[in-house]
Amino acid sequence: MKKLEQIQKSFCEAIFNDTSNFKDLIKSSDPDKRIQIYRVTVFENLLNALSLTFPGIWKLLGEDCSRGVGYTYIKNKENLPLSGCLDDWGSTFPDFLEKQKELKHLPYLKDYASYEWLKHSAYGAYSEKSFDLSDLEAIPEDQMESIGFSLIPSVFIFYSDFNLADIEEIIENPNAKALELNTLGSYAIIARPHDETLTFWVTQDLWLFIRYLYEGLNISQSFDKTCEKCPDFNLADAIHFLLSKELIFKIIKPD
Amino acid sequence: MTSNPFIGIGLRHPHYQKVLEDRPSIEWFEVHSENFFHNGGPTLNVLFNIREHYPISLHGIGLSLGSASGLDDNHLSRLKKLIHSMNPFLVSEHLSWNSLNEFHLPDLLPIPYNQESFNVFAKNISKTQDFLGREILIENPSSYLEYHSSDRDEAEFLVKLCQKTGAKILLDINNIFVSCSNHGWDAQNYIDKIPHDLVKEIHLAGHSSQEISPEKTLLIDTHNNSVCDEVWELYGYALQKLGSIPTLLEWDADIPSLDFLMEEASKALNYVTLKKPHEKT
Repeated sequence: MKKLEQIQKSFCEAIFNDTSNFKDLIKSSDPDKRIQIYRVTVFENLLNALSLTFPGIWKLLGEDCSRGVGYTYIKNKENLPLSGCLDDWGSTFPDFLEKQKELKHLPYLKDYASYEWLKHSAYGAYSEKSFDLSDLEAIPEDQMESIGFSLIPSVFIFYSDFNLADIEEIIENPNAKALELNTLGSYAIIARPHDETLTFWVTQDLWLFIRYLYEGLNISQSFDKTCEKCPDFNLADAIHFLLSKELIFKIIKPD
Repeated sequence: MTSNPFIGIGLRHPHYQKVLEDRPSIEWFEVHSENFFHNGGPTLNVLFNIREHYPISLHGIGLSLGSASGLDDNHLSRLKKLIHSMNPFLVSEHLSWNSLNEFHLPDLLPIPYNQESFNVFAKNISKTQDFLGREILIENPSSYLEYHSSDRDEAEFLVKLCQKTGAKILLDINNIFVSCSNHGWDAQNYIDKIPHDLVKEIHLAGHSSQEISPEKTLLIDTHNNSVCDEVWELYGYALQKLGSIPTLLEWDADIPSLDFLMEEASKALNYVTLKKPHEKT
């Protein structure tokens, strides 16, 4: 008698089309047709999960093409979910899209998929309320430059060479202007300060400053590094942005 | 909030807002545990809000109690965290498997019913209950194939498993009907083998059919339409044997309006018997 683990391995092989080791284990008639029922369910559940996590990719490629690409992704066992929670699954899909020869004419797909993955991640991130402004007022003026900001857990920072804002506009509004791939890149701050996941398309200097804060530098260090690349950077505007969008979780005081 | 809830509905995303706004007259809701494994966010907030007004049952589809390779400790931890925050009145899983070491297949896959798989299930169920610090319910699955290596029937397997581990049974009447039709088992005989004191919840759902050969049509547990008359009749038979058990209507695809679901679920009242199973007539 085959051991259970071997049976389960054979079942997995059968789901991915090699039924040779599994068919003989089945007492029921028409084993191939019966295996096919499970195969369809597995693939449909995975395709549905991909379409929910990457709705923009689904619209850009169209339903048929998306399902075909998704099917190819799923067929490689290395891409299968590693947990029983499908919301965890899909982080490698953007890299997979980039490697598909048939999609080379859509060079922005990988970045757009990465952007959607971050929005998906922000949606389910820990919910932490923005800090109390009075905490900032309590900081002595001479220490202000040496404090840092811990951003709310749903903040993700993303850059693309492509104009993802325009791509998103075209996805949402098919009558929008034609896509110009030569336009400047996009700097995105993705966050869910409350119930809705938001994307802030920001300027390069603001994006750099927030990225440095995100990496753990204090205000002064972040300001200096930002100014190295963007000498006209306005610190007051940046702080106002972070406060008004409720992206700061807490103040990190100097040791 | 009802203290002894009877009729419940599987709560799915299209109805979150309506439930929050209208607070419909439903006695309890069941959700898929894994849909709320997020660390935070609006979906989790919805469940927190609904939990304030209705008893909640957590129904898992991804723990994979039948995996020979054991359980995912991270999955267990996330489930425990959700249970701690939601305080569900029931927690259930399936008599099936879907994980094998390195990857996970999102379906409820069948196992052979023999001593080896019994030991695997018993070990995994015991580990789960010990870790969660509470009993869980095990649901009988719909299945589309049988193994040569099975040497006992499903009802017997499930009952003995629960007796050994202290788990209870979530008896899915549609699944009994589907599997019995697919494998030529006797549905009433299946129910006759289930002791009334083990059953803590009943599921009802719709199914579809698929011809696999000129001689054989399989029933598929698609949860995409109304409960058929034969399943309602079997439900009535089960209630006569088991007494009044919290009953849930599941509908997961082509989901109709909440009003329609409530109407469909309320049909269960037609089958309620006040007679307790241990009472002599």
